[in-house]
Amino acid sequence: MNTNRNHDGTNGPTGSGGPRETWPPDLIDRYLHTVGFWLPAALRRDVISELREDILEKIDERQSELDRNLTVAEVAAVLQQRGNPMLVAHGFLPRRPLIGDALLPAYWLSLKVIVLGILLPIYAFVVGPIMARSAPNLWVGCTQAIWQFAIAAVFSFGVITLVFACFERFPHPNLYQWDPRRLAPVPGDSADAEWRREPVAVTIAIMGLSLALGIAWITLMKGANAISYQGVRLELAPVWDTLFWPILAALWSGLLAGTIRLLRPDKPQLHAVGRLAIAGLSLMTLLVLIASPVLIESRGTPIDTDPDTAYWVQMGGRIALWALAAVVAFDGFSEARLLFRSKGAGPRSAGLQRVG
Amino acid sequence: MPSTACCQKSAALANLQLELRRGTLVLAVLAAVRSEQYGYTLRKKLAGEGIGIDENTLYPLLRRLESQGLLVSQWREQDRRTKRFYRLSKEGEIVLQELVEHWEQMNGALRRVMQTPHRPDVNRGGGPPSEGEEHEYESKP
Repeated sequence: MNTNRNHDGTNGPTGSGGPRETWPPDLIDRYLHTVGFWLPAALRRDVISELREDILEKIDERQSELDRNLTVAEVAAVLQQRGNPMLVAHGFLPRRPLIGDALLPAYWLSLKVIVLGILLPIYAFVVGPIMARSAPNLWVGCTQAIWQFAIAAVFSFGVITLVFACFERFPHPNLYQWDPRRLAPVPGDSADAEWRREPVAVTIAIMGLSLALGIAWITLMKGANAISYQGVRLELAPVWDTLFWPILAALWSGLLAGTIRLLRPDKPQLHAVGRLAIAGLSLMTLLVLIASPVLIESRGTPIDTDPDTAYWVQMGGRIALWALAAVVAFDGFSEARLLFRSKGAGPRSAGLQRVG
Repeated sequence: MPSTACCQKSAALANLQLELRRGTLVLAVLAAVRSEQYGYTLRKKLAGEGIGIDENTLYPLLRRLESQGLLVSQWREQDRRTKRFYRLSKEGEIVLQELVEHWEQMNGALRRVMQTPHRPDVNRGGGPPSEGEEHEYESKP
């Protein structure tokens, strides 16, 4: 072993008359310091000491072979061969992915369904046109809509990743200790059962739709709650702002229902109760909205001059809400009927095989 | 493009070789530290036996095996330098023995599979063999 080099980084005499170029004493220190930056404090000192020892051994060996001290370039080459400090440190970190292999397929499916299948169409066909109309010109409107979509997509990506990371950290026992008896019942062969063939996909779609509608709702209420078109300005009345949280809760409760369905597909009664509760909350919110004297504040000609037009603006909104309430009431009624039927028929009741 | 296909094939082969090596490296390291070693000499020893192992693989592996209780380590001075010496723990010895047995079983099974002559089955349409067919195939040497 060549002992000509002092291990504080300075070089001693080579004894061979070879080149005396010295390498900077802090070259190894700088390398190890950078590795240490990426290591947790608990590991740092121990790992760095061991790495230092290994590098010095290698340099010693090389110097013995050459019978001279290494040049700066040669020491740098040794360190380069050792690898990028960040990658070296990465090898010592616990191998725990943010989202593991078990959840990765569901994670990708969720991202695709929510961002491409739900958020994109909502922004392309609903939010986008509204924003485009309310903007001073089409170009500005489209840019705003794209920007809002990008924000919503990034937000959804973050929320989905966070939710799946939580599942990864605190896995539900069903994920790894699953029981075939708890799998969702096979849909019946009825003609309308085709869309229920992929219960996980449909559940994720429900979760995604709730999330996307919630984001779209926030965007509309907090960003562009007014439409200006040919001198007429339509704006949501203050009651919408008052009911902001109940509406958001109703929209996002689907997310909760979808999660429960994903975790416990064997509990159709629980799903029915959840959907019934969501229908009840939605219906109450809708009834409060319908009862409000003003739904849409409108200004400009001809609304200001023609009471009939102003009346039908309000009535139009009210009719849309009544229609929505009817759909929600029908859905709630269906769930209630299925729930009562299932008490006699058990979980294999055809009606309770409904997804979402 | 033939060169692209060739590159893909060699990359796939490299990946398969890597996967094949991954498990055996643990076995090699455990076997090598039956006598006390520090990282550098351990790597040299393995390389001398034809098992090249990168430092960035070896040191994290040593640490992982130590955290699993299969190795014990000690910082000690040698040649005016402080080095970390590793050796197999009591638990590690038991695990190594079991792993070697398992590896020998696997090796034997693989050898038998490799020695079984390949018989392309031209008569069957690709479905699973019937009970009789399976018996006939197995009974032939």
